[in-house]
Amino acid sequence: MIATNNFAFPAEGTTPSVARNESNFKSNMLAAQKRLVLIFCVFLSFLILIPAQAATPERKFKAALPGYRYHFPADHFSHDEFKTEWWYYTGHLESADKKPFGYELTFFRSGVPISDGVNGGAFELRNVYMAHFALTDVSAKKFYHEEKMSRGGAGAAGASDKEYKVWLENWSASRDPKSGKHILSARSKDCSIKLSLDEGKVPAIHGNQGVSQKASCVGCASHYYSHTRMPAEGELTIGDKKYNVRGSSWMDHEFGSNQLAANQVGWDWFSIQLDDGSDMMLYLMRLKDGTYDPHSSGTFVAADGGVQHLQLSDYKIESSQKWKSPHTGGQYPTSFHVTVPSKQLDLQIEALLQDQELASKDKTGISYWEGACRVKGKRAGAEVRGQAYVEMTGYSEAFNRKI
Amino acid sequence: MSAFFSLSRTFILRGLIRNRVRSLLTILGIALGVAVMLAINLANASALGRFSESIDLVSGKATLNVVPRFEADIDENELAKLSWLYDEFIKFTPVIDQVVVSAKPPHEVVQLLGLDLFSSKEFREYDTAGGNNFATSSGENNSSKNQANDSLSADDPAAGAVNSSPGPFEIFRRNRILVGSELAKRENLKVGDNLNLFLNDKEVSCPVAGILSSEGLGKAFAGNVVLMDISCAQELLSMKGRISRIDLIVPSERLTEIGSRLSKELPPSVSVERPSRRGMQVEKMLRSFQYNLTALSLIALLVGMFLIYNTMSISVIRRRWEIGTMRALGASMPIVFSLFMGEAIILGLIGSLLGIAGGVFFAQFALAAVSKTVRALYADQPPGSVIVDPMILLLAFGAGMFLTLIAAWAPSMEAISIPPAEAARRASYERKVESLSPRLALFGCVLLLCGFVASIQPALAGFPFFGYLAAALAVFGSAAMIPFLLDKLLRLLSRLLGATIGSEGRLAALSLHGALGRTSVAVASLMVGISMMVSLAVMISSFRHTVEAWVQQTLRADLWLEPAGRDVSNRAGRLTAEIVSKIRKVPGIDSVDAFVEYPIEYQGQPANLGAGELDVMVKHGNLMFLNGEPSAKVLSRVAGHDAGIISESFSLKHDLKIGDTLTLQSPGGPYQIKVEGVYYDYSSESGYIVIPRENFARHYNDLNSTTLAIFLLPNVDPEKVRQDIFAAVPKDSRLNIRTNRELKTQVLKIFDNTFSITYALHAISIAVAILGVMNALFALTMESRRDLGIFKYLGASKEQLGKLVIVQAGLLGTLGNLGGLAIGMALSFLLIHVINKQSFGWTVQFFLPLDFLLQSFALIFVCSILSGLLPARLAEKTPAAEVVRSE
Repeated sequence: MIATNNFAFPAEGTTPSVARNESNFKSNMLAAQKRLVLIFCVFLSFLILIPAQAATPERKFKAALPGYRYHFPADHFSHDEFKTEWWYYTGHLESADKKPFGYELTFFRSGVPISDGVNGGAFELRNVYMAHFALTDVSAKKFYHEEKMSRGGAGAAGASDKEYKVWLENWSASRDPKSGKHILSARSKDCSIKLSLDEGKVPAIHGNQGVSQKASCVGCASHYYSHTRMPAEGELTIGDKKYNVRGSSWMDHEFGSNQLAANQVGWDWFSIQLDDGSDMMLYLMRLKDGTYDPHSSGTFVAADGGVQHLQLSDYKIESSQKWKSPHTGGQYPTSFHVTVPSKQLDLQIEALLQDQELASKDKTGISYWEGACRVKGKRAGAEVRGQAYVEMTGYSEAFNRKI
Repeated sequence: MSAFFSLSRTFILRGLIRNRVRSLLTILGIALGVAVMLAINLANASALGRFSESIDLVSGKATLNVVPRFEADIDENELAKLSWLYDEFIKFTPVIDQVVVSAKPPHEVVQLLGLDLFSSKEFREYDTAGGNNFATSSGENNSSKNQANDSLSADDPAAGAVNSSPGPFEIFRRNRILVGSELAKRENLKVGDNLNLFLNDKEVSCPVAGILSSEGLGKAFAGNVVLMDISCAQELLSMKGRISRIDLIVPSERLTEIGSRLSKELPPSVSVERPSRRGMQVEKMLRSFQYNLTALSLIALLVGMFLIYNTMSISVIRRRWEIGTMRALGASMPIVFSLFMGEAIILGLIGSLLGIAGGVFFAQFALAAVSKTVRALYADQPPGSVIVDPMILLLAFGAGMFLTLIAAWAPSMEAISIPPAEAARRASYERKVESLSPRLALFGCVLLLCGFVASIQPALAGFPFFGYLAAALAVFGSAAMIPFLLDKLLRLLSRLLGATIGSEGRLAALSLHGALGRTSVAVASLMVGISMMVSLAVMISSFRHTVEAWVQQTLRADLWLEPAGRDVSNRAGRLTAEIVSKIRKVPGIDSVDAFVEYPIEYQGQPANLGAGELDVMVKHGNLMFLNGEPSAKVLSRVAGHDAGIISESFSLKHDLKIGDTLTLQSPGGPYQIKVEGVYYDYSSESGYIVIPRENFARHYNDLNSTTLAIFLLPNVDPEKVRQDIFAAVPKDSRLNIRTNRELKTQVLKIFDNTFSITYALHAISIAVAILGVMNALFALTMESRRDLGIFKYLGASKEQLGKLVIVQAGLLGTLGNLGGLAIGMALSFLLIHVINKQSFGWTVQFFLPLDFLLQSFALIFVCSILSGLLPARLAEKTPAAEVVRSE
């Protein structure tokens, strides 16, 4: 069944109305839940671990409930009342001399669940921040990545709830309130990016009634939207080389308060931009028994920004061509055959580079594969091309053990 | 070769076994010397080693520190000024580093570290006990908890809120701590228990969130370490907005570049330094203390050396006849030499090995004592365990063997110089000594003169090298004069004793005179042992009397008040101005001198800045000034001026006199102080600068106090005021209030703690002295058997012989005692006026502990007699005919 979100996105600052539709309530699994697990596991590995002790009043977070009314650009800002939140950018870039690149820049915020910590001061612990930055140099067959984490003490990291500004040390994503452009900046030892992105289409809101439901209980959901096609320009450097680049980016923003179920081992997530102007998000949540979680879902975004919800039964993804990671020993598929009969889509997705694994440098950390891919196939019989970013977790041994 | 070995077996081993008591005493002497030296050196090295190890563990991978220049801490906002370091890929993290104390006696000193637990693992290693297992179990706990929460939300949708489990965030709750495993063991703490700490005037309960494993940081400060998140540490320590320092990991090739950019971009209130600097500073502070201990311990080894010399000389004298026979039968000079050296080597070897075992054993006690001193004088550092450094063991063994060989060299040379024909004539050696004695005495005089010259030399790089040289010269110089003095003295005594005791007395003196060589050796070794004992006794009692007098004179307040935290050694403990003003209002109080003390750095060296209320000090205080000026007069010159007074040790260390001006750094910029007086102080080696309270408040913007000296109105009961003060302050205030008498007792207790290692050395020196007496006398009397045999042959009765031996023993004991006393006095003079003065900068009034000296004199005398008793018994049994036959 395909549920069509009938949200209209008016101009900035006004509030779109959200239709209530109780019947569509079930089975809209969050692609996003994946990252919650990721964050949580990484926290576990970084901190000294202490068994939970006697009950003390804990910090209350708001549940993601149906009927949430989005306001833009305010919903780009940080939602500290929710436990977990992230801003996720991926994109394909091309230099003036036609060299292709892919990048990923993501920021995570996780609310600290205790209520009797120290209040005030530069080191007040309300949130923990994490960020990943990766760059794929397709022609040089090189993949660069780095991770950062911070409590945000003394301005080292933060996410504002007054404006769109999220940063961790010298990595940041922000929005120029005048032009509405998103400004991304990140710099690692090997490479850097400085990009300016147009928002492009109106935000595509995933799920129904402003929530992306993950289980049948009330509040077991999150708020999740994407800018699926953001024209990008800027510059990137690799080593001493500097490139002026243009391309297209994809932004995900999600916030919620509940954790993921224990029987899920990982997920495969796809963001696809086709050259006919349509975009699509799909994901498969893999369970311990080898099947897919029925909550797995997707969203089809038409060229005009119209959104259609896709259920697991609406699409099929077959993977092939396993690549074995020399870093973690994990085996990742790098070739996918995607069919969406209702949209007459038949697509072949191929990794632009096999090794796009973000192998955690910390042995106990979490490793995953997130990479730039090319798309080739047919829509309603006609040739269609495009680009995609694919994220796969739970294939490396470290992750399995952690789960 | 095999002939040599069989010869050694019969010659050496049989000799050693036949004279087993003497061999044993000699071995014990060497063992004791080696053990003392080793124990002291191990303790020193361990104290320092543990300290540097702790500093390394706490510094972790940091290669640069941003530290406060003239305050105790820095503004946390300095961190935000370092954001340019992100683009340089240099990691930095804030650190809070403070000493706190456990509220439970014996008030363990605990190093509290406040770290940003999110970034600290990149800087230093630490883990909770059983670390990784925790991770899994905790993770599982969480997931089950979360499911429980999920269902809870489902049941109660109205709440619309989500509970989440804290899991790894437990440590971020208020006052939560991770405790070092050793501390947990000693305080019997488990996860979930509370560790109560004294902080300023409060007692705070800190729930234990985890126990650190004994690896990495958990090993620092002998496990007396507590870890917190930086935010909790700031709150706990009332350090809102402040941090102790910033750690940075800068690659070594960029240290200069980054260091200078940091200095440029950060305000002048902070400085950039290498983490090793603090270790070096402490090492420098401890060095003179440790060298002094090592030097004192060498005296014990010196006594061991004299014992060997004594034993070997007597051995050679006794065997002249055997040597002559061997030489006549064709034994070469090297063989004879090797035989004697072999005997010494066996003694030295057994003694040194025993000494090493004993040294390692005693090192832990020495370390405990050394740590007490270090803690009282320099830095708070729990003792930790002894680091048994094989190099130090080897060094001690080498020293034992080397000194043995040196001591045995002369007697062995003497042995081979005996021509076969002359060997039968036993007296030749003694005659040689007699003829040599004036020249030896002259040589001794030269040594003593050199010693005197050395004693008036200044310190060499802060270490009293020449003082120790003078001490060594005094010992050897006096030893060289012994034969000459004995020659004259014994002649005199023989007449004197003959007149008083009778012929036995005369014969006793004459027989000692007849064997001048061995008598001299015996007296000298006795003398060295006793001199060590005497000098330490004089030094300690002089020091203690000086401090007692100073305490009596200086500590005039009726009550003395400190926050509990500070009292039990956390020097950072403070009283707020509110509490002080409450105390001032308690009836019966005439005035209160609220003193504040602040650790500072002056010209790169640690010092203390104190500030007191001068009007109160003028009225009541009674500091003793070096130039004898009355306290009130000096202090009234200070009041209201940019002036201050300095302690004697500070004055000596920095060469500052009255009228000089010194410049101090403060948050408000540098300011100058004119020195108006130099006062006696024995509470700190690094020294004090004391300025008026209002000046301190102006420069440092600090209104807190560290100690209150409370002066009462006449006829007010201190006990009642003490109770009234407790009633006046908030209930949760933890204050220690001492009456004048209690404080004085406390000060002397601290003094005794400081001197505990010296007391230990003193006890050992008594043992060494007694050992020396027994060895010397026993050997000497044994060797007098020949004389005794003749006397017996000539008709002396058993009783007469016994009396003769005992008189001889008493005579030796007395001579050694007198010599030891004389040299001991000289040594104590050197210790007090040269060595201590140059090392610590304290003037100590010379004081003679007459009671102790009399007691020890008697003890040594009794030991002498006792050591003579066994030989006397043997002498009585001597078959006269056998002895005389050989004559």
